[in-house]
Amino acid sequence: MKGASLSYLTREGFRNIWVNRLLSLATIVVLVSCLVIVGSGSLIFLNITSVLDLIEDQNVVMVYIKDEADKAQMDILNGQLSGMENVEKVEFVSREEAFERQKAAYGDKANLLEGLDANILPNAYKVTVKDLSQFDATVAGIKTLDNVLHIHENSELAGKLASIRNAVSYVCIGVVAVLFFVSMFIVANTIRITIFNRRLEISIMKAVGATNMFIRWPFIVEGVLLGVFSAVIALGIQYGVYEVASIWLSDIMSMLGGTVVPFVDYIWIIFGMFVFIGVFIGSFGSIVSLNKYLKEHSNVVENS
Amino acid sequence: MIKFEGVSKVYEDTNTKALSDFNIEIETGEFVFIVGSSGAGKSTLLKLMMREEVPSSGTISINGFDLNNIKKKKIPHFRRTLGIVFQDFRLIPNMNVYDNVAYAMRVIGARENAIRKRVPYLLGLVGLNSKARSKPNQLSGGEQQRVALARALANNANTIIADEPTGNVDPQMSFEIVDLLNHINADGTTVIMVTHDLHLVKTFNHRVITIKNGVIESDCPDASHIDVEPYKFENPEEAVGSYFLEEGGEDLDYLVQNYAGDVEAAAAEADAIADVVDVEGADEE
Repeated sequence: MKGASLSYLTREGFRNIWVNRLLSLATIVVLVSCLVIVGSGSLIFLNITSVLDLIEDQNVVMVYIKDEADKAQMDILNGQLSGMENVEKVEFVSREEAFERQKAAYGDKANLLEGLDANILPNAYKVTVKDLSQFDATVAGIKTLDNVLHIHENSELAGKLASIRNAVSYVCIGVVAVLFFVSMFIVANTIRITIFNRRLEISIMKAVGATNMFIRWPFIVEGVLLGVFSAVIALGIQYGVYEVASIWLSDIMSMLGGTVVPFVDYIWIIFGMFVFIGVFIGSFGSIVSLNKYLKEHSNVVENS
Repeated sequence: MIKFEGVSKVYEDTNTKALSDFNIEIETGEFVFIVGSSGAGKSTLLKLMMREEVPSSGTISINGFDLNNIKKKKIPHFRRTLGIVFQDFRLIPNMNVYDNVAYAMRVIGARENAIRKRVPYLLGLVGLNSKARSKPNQLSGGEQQRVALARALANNANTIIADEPTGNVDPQMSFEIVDLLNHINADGTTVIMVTHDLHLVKTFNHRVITIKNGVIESDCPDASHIDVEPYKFENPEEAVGSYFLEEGGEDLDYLVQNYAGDVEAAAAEADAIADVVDVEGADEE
């Protein structure tokens, strides 16, 4: 395609949006609604995962070390634990430190521990696990290491958290996917109406010998532009909606010990996602609708 | 050159036989009228010419393109050799006259400076330079059809296919439009015109192909076999119409036909009209 033609057809794409402004507006409204719903779903997912992250961070495996292990053997164990794939962090907890914590935990009844010293407790490593769904395999791996006396873990909690995260992920991905296809369907149909409204232009283009690429290009430009416009508008609306929702969301989050995920932390990711979805749906909707129209209806001789 | 050899067309979905054993040969530069009642097969013929349909049997060759074996991506290039004029004009309502004509060039990738040169020339040819900025709804039916004709000529088509171009205009305008086609044909462009108006066919007296029930009923070199009166106008100004007045020139052939061969009377009228135009032109200056 020549440069002059490309620029003319691109201008046509812009012009068509204005000429068919009512239908362009309808497409933008549909697209913005879908993007805001997709964005809201994503932000809810981000907040739920941030709570899950918080809970998961507190879920650790206590690896108690045999008394006979010397400093070098403990260092080897530390190295082995840190080198495991699913291990996020390894902290050494000395028996003295543990004894002090124990006393603090007993509070008023700390006198029960009188006459005892820290030697009743073993040294330990506090191991934080990365992925809770791999929790059991990680624990099994730790058990095989030398100088491990005993392991204290809460696999039930780990399992529950992992399944909650999976469920939240699947629901969110499912909702976003359904909305994605629903919006594509609606936008494709809206664009079909604009194409039908412009059947005269299409039939003239075909009659004078325009190639299919020339016929499609203004519609693709139009679809892309509508996608970008919708993404920008949706971002603004999403920001407003999220700020309002944050007021009551912050109460729930503080009860769970966390805070609302700030919108600005994800603004570029959300904008990128909106532009991608908007442009993809807009241009793909245009191409699908136009191809279908050209195949089924466009006829130079009888079209009027 | 247009050549149909043993062409038949059956629409398989409805099992309708639209054309059977169609054989025609139209030389470059010919003017051919195609007549026939509704359902005779004229639309199918046009679809085959436009390569919107392929024949069920037989071969079609137009302007050097073998339409039976043409590749899909070559169809737009083939169509650029044709200029099509429709009964319903098919002008884009939100574009002015200039842009409607320019549109045909733009959508095939013509350069803007080529468009700026050619469109005024074409509008001059159809006598509509003064209406370049008008929208289609500000024009009469005849004027709209002249814009459509200018558009059909925009890409230097060597064949004009006019599908009942006078169907939506009054007799006077019809005459103007076919006269314009006649002038275009005189410059070497092949013209194929589908029409129901036998008076026009008789008046312009070119080759006539009559279709009936999908077959060629007759193919005559002139309209002598058609038993209707040619168009005549009482007043030459009425016949000449706005086209002539706008051009401000003499058009003897035009008047000769309206005066049924009375050349002297036609010439006198032409002089009279030209004088009027000159005087009006001088006043304006």
